[in-house]
Amino acid sequence: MKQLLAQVRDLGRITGGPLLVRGVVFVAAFTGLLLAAPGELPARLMLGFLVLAVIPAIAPGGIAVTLVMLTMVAMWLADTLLFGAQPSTGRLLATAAALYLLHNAAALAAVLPYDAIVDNQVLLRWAVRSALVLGAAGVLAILLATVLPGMYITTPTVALVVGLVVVAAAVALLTRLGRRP
Amino acid sequence: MSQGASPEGDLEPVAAADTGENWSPTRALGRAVLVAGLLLVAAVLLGRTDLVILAAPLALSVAFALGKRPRALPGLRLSTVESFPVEGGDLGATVEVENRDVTGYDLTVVHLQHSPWLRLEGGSVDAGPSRRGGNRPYVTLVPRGVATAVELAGPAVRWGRHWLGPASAHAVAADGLLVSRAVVTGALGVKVYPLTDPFKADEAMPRAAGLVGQHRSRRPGEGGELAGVRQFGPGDRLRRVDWRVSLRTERLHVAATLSDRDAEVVVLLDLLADAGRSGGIGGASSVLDRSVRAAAAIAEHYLHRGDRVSVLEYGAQARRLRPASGRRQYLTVLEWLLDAHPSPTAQERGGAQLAAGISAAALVVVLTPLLDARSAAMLAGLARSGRFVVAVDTLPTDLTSPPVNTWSDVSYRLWKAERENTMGQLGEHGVPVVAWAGAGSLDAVLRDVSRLAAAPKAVLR
Repeated sequence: MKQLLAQVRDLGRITGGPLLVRGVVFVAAFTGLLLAAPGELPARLMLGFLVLAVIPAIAPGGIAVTLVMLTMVAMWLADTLLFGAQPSTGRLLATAAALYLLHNAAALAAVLPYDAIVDNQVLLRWAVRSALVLGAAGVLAILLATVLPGMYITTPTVALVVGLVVVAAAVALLTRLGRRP
Repeated sequence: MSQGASPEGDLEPVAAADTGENWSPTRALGRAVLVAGLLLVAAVLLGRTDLVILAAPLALSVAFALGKRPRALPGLRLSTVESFPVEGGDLGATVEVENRDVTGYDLTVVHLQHSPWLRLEGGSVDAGPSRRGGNRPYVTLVPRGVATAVELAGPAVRWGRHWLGPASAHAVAADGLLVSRAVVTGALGVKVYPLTDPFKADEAMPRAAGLVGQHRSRRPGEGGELAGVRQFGPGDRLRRVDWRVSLRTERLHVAATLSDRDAEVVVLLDLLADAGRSGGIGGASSVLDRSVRAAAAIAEHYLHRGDRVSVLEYGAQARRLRPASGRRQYLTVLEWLLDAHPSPTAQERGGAQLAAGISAAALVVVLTPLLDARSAAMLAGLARSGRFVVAVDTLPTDLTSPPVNTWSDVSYRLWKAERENTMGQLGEHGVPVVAWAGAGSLDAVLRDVSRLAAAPKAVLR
């Protein structure tokens, strides 16, 4: 109880920079959940999404961010596989952007102490880098949409195996990048 | 200003440079790889391009961020401006973070711990006044090959030896995917001198000694104070001749003066007990605060007039500063006062023992809150030993007792009445007790003490 009171008292120390970043986390999580959710949403589900989106903003360093991202992916799969929805390119790109922004803003919020005095240049540089990544991903998405025949590709078994090997190699590469000295 | 040779606390990153242990991945890296991997696997298994597009920004960001990763730790240096602040004076500190790596840091989080009596606030980081200060971390950008300084400034609100530091910093790179080990500097010592209350005493010293100084003595000699006019005698200087009287009386007369002498002042600090809560320079003051500030003021006043001043401690440590005069002694007294702390002790010397180390001609100014019965006994003992003692009451006037029960107020009033009784008894024993009130505090009692000094006295030997 004493700890909880101390935490509530500490809330008064929060500064503008970390609050802004946590706000971005919340907006990205909520928008992403709305975009990924299938069909028309009942009001109760909206409330659930609100609560779900607040958790990563409160604890950006915890596992909640991963869970919300996985929820978004699961809902996207459910919408497209179970309900057979045909999402527009705009919705697809917006969901991808929300997924990335949630991850990226949470990564920043996790390393910013909540009561820190933050230099504006830090936030500006972060925003520019995020915009660059989103721009590059957007170009890649348009290229994929142009090259590939459609959203669904029927693959032969050989292509499936090759694809899986490529994915495994990509994941291994990313993991190795993080771990190498 | 620092304790030690260097005013800077500097720590080079320790040994582990160029090893992978300096930087560790954050949870964000694992999250990005997990979600991107799952999306890509699902994309291949289900033959879906939309999942590839969903995974693309995550995978791209990890590859983009980790393409060039940092290796060395940031350099950190803590320094302070070499100055001698008094209470309320400004102090400046700089924490410098250096990036000696091949890639820029996204941000560096700098923590600076310091004494609560140093109200340091960030000056270089843009923030509103309400958000400043209060031992907050500072987050700053450190590009490649550049050192960024976080400058802090603010007043030191209480006298004493304060600590500044240690400062610590950790850097974040690769879009928050990697975080460095913390680099920590050493701490610096900062001396803040007490602000001297305005103090002035115009009255004569009880017994001046020596041949130089500014006090008029009761002995004739070269000086500025006119004692009378007498007939010219051998040895008198011509410039002393009073021509008007000489013409009138037709005999040579000279103006006789009293010699100017210096005196020894002993400031005795009673550190047996402390009371009240210190609120710094603008707030409430404790007994110790009042004692130290009053001691500094008294020492400054008498040293400025050319007297010899020594400072003694009545407490467990029993420190003693030898008598001396001049500006150097004033600085020594201030330095000595920085180490004054309440030091209760079970066995303390009596007044007679203390008097043995005090010159018989010295004026003893005892700064005491009279909270301990031994303090009153010590004062009486000093007076019995023939020393000229003035007690200055340093108990804060706004001191109140915390209400514990219904009897608290009554018992507090009783205690105050008993204390006033003790003060009255001390007065009867020839120890005037006066409340500290800055300028002119001691004038009334010094007059009494001087009168007593002039009278014949029976002294216990």
